[in-house]
Amino acid sequence: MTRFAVWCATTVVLPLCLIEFNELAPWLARKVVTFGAWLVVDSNLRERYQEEWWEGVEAWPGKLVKLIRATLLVGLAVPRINWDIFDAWWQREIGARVAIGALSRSCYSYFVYAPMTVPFLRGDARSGYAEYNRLLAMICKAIRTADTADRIEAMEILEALAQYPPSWIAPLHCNRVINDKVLKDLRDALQLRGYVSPSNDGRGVGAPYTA
Amino acid sequence: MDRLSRITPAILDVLEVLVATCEIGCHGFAIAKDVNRPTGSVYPILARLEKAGWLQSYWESEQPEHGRPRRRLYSLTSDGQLAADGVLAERRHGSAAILRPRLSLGGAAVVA
Repeated sequence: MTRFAVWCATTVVLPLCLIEFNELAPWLARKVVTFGAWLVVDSNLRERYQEEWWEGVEAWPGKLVKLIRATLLVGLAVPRINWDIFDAWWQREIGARVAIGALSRSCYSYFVYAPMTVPFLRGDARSGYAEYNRLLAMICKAIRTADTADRIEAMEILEALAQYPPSWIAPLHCNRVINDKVLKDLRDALQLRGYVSPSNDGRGVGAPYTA
Repeated sequence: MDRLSRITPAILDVLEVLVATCEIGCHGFAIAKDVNRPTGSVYPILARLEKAGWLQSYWESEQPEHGRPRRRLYSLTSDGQLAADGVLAERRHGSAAILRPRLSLGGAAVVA
């Protein structure tokens, strides 16, 4: 009986699944491209990239090749494009080039990959993310302008944030409510060091780089 | 037009193709094939160059063949053309010029 089941699986079910997957591959490739374009932080560019990238994938012959190409394209292009958007935002807000070399690798990936989780977040978490970005901008300003001791402290805060991001940043926890405590702690820390005046509560300083 | 913060070999490759085809303009996939690099590397470079004002892009005006998606065509702006010529001369032809005398040392010895 077991032998028959194995024979059925290898000679009938598996080939059928492979054929079906092969037929499904172009459709999946299309979905991957659409999803990849959706992950680009600047929402004004999404539609354009979706069409442009699909043209690039469509040009490849074969069905499975299209899926592989789409996955490679999205995997390579989206982080780079998001990084460039972040870099431009940083220069505008902080007034300097990204000194990310001074930060850890986890911090770097945090800036590049965290924005991709934004579409998964609930509305309240999205506003939390914007607030978080404003606070990040202030820390970065402190790193650039404060004296050495304060700069070291600000760097430590930034590193800690990169290592322990708020739970709503991680896609697996996207349904959780915003971790207000993280924002509060950060705001308090900045206020203590005089980077944020309590009156404006950090608002109006810097702008989120999410579109 | 903005200066590029970092000019990588991939950017130089893309610029070379664009300089050669700036009149007609070409699409991302064709550029990627010409420079023999993955499209995932080429599209961000094109976006960066466009944002810096080196490139302009537009959708192709002709009706695409049946079933084919529209193509986004890229061409160098007049300022971009000048900047690209400068960068290529400096990085590619400049490095070749530096290498040439070094390489010719051996040759000169043989000739002598």
